[in-house]
Amino acid sequence: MRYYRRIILSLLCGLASLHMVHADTLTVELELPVIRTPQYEAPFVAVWLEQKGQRRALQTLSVWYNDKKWLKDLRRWWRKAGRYGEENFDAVSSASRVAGRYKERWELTDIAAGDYILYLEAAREHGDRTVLKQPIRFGAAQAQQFELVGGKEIGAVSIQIKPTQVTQSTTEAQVQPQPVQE
Amino acid sequence: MLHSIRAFIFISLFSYLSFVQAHPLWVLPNEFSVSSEGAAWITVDVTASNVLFNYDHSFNLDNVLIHSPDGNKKPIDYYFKGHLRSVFDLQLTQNGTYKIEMKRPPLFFTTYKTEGNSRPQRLLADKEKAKAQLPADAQEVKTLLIHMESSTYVTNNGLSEQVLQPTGKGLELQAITHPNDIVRGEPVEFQLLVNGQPTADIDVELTPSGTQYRNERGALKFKTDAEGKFSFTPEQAGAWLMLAGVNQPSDTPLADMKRLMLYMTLEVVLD
Repeated sequence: MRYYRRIILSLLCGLASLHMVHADTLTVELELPVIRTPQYEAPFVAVWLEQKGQRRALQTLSVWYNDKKWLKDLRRWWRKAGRYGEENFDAVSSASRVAGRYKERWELTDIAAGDYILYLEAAREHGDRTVLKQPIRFGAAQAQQFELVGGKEIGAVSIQIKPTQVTQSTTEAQVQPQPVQE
Repeated sequence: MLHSIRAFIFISLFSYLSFVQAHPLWVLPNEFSVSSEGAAWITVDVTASNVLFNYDHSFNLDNVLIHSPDGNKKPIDYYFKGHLRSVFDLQLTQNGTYKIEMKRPPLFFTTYKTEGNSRPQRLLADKEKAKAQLPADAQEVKTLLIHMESSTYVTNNGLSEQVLQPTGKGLELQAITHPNDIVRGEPVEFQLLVNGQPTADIDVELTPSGTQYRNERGALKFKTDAEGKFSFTPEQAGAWLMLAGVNQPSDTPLADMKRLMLYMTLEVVLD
């Protein structure tokens, strides 16, 4: 529905201002492994996008945590994004979750076509830290699918990127990506 | 108190041929990077020890200065002084980067040689006071005025730059890489200033923690280039101690030479 509205808007704005931009649907399915220990606490988890050579993350997609005091234990995410302020992650944060398989989907329309690195990080109290990364491309013609082996705190991960071509005008406001819970 | 510090420095300098290798004086916070909802407490150890990071000597901390992200500076409220270390807790009430700075009172140090004694002898005295204490056959009498500072940086939530501004006095770091943004496997670039001017040929030594658990001390050694810069890529995460040292012409007739020494505790974080 949103797309149709955009197309109509674009047509109203006139053909001269039309250009093709991409939209990608990013789906991440990750497993938080069952860890049998009397001291099990739900791990903190972050999913975010980086660009090679940039000190700051491009965008945080998801953060699961319960106490900001320990947020720095998501060490890479904290350094790349978290410490720069809540406005970078408030809208995409939620409570930490126990072991299980989780799937999240984002419609990303305001990210320029090109190469990015998708990061996943998990840290658990009394436990370990796992950082996983996968180079991905936005604006590609083909869908991409990646399977990551995982580590101690994040198990197997499936990543899927599906392109959607959208026509919009240069003057149209950008739409913020929304996480889609499943 | 002053006497015991002097005695300590005397002993530590006595043990080594080079001043650069004197007992390192360091300030170690329990956290360099803090995430908090508002204010957060950290605790800080101050000691001097050749083993990094272990404890060997306590200090009077009355001249420790805390530089806040907003540019204010103040001494610490209270501290504990044990036999092997001094400790204070610090509440970080602002977001941004704090500097914890400890400056030693300037110290005059005279060396000389005597007949039949191959090792230089030492006196904690300036040129005037040394005259009265020197033996009649003292030769190669030299007096150094030592300025020593030990500092570190701690960040509550986001990084800030205010406390990184050099004052233009003494030996200082001009951070190109933010000192709370040092990452294993990523290049770090620093510049050193003497009285605000980038200065070449400053000796720099960087040692990672855990020296008691390895055979090699593992120090990286550099000299600043023509622009006063040096760079390195740390391959080990953890706390590191930097020492920068340089000799300068004396600006008092009571010394022949001035030695500026800057210790700095730095954290290298995981990539």
